[in-house]
Amino acid sequence: MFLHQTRTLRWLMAGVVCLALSACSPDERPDKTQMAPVDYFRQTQAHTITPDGEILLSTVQEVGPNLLQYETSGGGTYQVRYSSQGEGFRYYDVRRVDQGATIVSTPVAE
Amino acid sequence: MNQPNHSPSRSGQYNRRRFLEVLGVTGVAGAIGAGLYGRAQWQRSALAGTMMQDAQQVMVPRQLEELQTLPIRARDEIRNWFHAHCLNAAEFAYEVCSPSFAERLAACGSEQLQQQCVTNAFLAHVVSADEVQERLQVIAQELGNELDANWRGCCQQLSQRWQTQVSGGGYEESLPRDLAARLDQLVQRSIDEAVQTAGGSMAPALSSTVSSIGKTALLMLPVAAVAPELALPAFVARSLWVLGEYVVRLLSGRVEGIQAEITHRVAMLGRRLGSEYEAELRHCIGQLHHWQQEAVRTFTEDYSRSAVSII
Repeated sequence: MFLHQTRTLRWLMAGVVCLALSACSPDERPDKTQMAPVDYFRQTQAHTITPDGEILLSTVQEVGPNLLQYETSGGGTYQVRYSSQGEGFRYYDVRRVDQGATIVSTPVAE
Repeated sequence: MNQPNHSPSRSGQYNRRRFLEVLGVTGVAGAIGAGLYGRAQWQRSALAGTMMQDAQQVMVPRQLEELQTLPIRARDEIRNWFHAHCLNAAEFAYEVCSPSFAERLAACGSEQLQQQCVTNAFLAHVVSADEVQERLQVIAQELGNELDANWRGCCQQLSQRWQTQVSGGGYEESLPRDLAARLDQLVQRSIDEAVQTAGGSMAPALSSTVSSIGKTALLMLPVAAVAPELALPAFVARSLWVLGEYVVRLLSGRVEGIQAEITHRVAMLGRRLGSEYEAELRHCIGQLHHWQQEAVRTFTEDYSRSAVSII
């Protein structure tokens, strides 16, 4: 192998590693230990579509212990309970709070 | 000695008279009976009609309220229930897009095993058909209990008004007709589609990329044999191209795409199930109300028959 080829290969490999590292980051799950649950929710639910439309991220707030509240593009205001599960969170007990109290208490928190 | 005159004409006259007398008495008795019966029937009908009107005042507002609130509540409960599963789909998207999952998938021997792997992840993080069915059963049970309680309350109210015991038992119809079978298909199909969506958007496994690089290297061998000084850059360029494809696929926002696709499908399933359930429940409650009307009508007719005698 020629010297100039070795150098080129090194640079190219370094470039590939950098690219791969930077490319992997968008798909990495946010580290929940480094942020508040409300921020984790904002980061992970940006593309979620619910039966009442998309979640309006600017409206997400923590309104109680393990209880988040948010609004949807469909005009509903919801509260959801969460518990820590693995590297993320498990969401359950979604309740619509802007029209009466319809409580649905599953999936069960684990 | 004179024989009594038993001429046929006199005998016939006598029989005719007797016949007319009997006929007259029978006719009068019949007319009186018919009159009494007709009067009783009219009174019974009037009593039953009054009782039915009375019952309508109790039943109709309750039935209207049931029709207006229960199906919509069931629909919203189903949609809210799916809401939580849509939120949990994000975790599923992160898992299936992780390199470790891709490696696990690559280790699967066949496409069937890969599909099973994706399905298991989906069931663990998002929702299963059994869970949906279970939830629908729970909602049906809750609403059924409420309908029963309403009907019992209605019967008690009527019993107090009429100072008698109105029994409301006997409704044997099963509420959902072929709902379970139809929803089963819908749920299974939607979940299969959602899993397929995830399966088609898997992370490119690094191992498959590496094997592509190896293949590229092999393809480059003839070139290396002919001109070794050209072989390395060509191989590297080709390898970079393969890795570049991998990177592009990584950069193309798969998590967001999968998350949006999956949650969209789950949300649509929730919306559709909610609407179907609402329509079916409306139909079933309508049938139940029809049965309740008939039950009260039968009760008032029986009651009026026993309360109003012919004489």
